[in-house]
Amino acid sequence: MTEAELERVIFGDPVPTTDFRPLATYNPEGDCIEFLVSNESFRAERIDSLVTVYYGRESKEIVGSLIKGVSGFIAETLRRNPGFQIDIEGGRVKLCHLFTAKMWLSPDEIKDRHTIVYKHLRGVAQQANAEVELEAVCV
Amino acid sequence: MSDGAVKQFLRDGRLQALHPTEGDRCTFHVDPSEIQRIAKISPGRARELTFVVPSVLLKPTAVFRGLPDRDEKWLCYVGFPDRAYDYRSGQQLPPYDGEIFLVYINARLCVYNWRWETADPIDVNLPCEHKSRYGKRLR
Repeated sequence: MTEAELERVIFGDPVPTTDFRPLATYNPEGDCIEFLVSNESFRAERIDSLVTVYYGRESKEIVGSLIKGVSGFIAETLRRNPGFQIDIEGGRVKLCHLFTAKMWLSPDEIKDRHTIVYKHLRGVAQQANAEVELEAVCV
Repeated sequence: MSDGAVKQFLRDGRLQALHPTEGDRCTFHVDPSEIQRIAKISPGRARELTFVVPSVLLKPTAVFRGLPDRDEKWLCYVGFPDRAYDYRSGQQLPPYDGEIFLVYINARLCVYNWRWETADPIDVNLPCEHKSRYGKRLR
């Protein structure tokens, strides 16, 4: 995107964007993964130390999440379950595996109502076949 | 911010903020490549970063330091911006009732996440569960 194109996005007339594909991005500054299944506006709700869920303002559905403290979580998961390594392929990890790992590793931390949210997030991530590049974190 | 200041921000990612403990200002930053990435997927979030985030950083209703599950030096600025944006179209909207805006900054003074969340029903200036989420309130 050129400087002029970026300025058009910021200052130009609002134009609905239609082409959006689910995406997961690792942000090294926040050591977090943002997962978006839609570009709908959302309200965030922190559910625990690992996950903040994004709820769509129109659909009221889960439209994304923020997975926090990723490097520590991966390291802890690998320490307690070295077999998790097989879910890291070429430095890439499927998000559904991260949600599963959290449910297996910290069942006591996940409150009852949040179990449903985790299962839902895992399903959404599975459906979107969402995976993220974590090579820098997994070495 | 003037149009010139906005254009400068789009180029260098530098953001002025009220110092978390003193009366003067300090500077945070956003990776310019992150501004570009967001602008490609969501004009509304790009505008939120450009216009809403700076207003909260300059006039926070609260500032917290320390995320117990992350890092004790990380900051969270909380505020009531005067506007919101539709993420798909970039259209300006009134702020959301019963919600507040959070901006997260890491120890390298990099803004890495920002979002709307439900306000605490007891103190609408603060986010829900603020007592357990942060180390110390600075403002």
